[in-house]
Amino acid sequence: MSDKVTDLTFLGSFTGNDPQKIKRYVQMFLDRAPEQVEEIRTSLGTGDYDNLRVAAHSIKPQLAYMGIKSLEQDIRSIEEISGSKNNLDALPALIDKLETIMKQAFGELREYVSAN
Amino acid sequence: MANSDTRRIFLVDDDPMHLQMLKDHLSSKLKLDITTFSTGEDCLANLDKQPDAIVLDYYLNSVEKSAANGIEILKKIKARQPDTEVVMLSGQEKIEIAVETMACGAFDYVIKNESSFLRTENKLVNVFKHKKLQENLKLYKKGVLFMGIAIAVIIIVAVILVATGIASKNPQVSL
Repeated sequence: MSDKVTDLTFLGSFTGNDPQKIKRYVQMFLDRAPEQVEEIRTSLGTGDYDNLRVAAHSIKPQLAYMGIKSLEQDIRSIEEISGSKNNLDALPALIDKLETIMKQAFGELREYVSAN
Repeated sequence: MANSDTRRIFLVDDDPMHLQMLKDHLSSKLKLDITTFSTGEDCLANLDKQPDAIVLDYYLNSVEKSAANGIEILKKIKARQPDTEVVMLSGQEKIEIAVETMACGAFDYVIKNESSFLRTENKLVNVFKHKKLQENLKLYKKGVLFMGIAIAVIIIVAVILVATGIASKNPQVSL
């Protein structure tokens, strides 16, 4: 399907196309990333922008490794806005988009893990 | 088991996936004895193992909220073991961060992204070359010092022999 949000090309190249190694890294991502997305949502709710920035900063490279390119700019914006505390009004929409795309990404990656 | 060619390094990162990927990449490319830590405090507690290099993440508090950040850990490492080279790692692309880490004694700085594994490998190769040069320089200095002492001793002995007349009275003497 062309509307997939994940792309494991980088992990394929990194592991020499070893499905077991790819699966291992994907599982590590699935073990941690849902909590990080939840932390971003919770921090927005409580107005803890420092914690929000740390969580966004922490998940940023993982999104790149999982090929979630549609969030590349948005996660940077979330990190920058929560760090500078300027334009905070833009955060809710960015985090809504993050949650939607990540939900789809988790589904795709769980499918990959169960199929390999 | 580590042998004399194997370099000991520490990897410090609170992101378990990046830590594992970096460990897998480096162990497949270089001869290394790798120890990983998720906090800088654990790294400091093991500094007595005298690693040749440390790859240290800039932010270390995404899991353990009270954990010290990388720059604080970097300063403590350099204060305790100035010869241990530190390569800083961060998702921060700001040049100011890189400048700050270098000013605090980091050997180099790598931005965390898809190319960071190869870049970290290259930086470590540079660290090991730099350390090898330093080791060779120390040996060279010791050699020069030894030669200087040996020449001084020969001159002193020669002067004593001439002064006491032994050398001139017995010109045919073979030592």
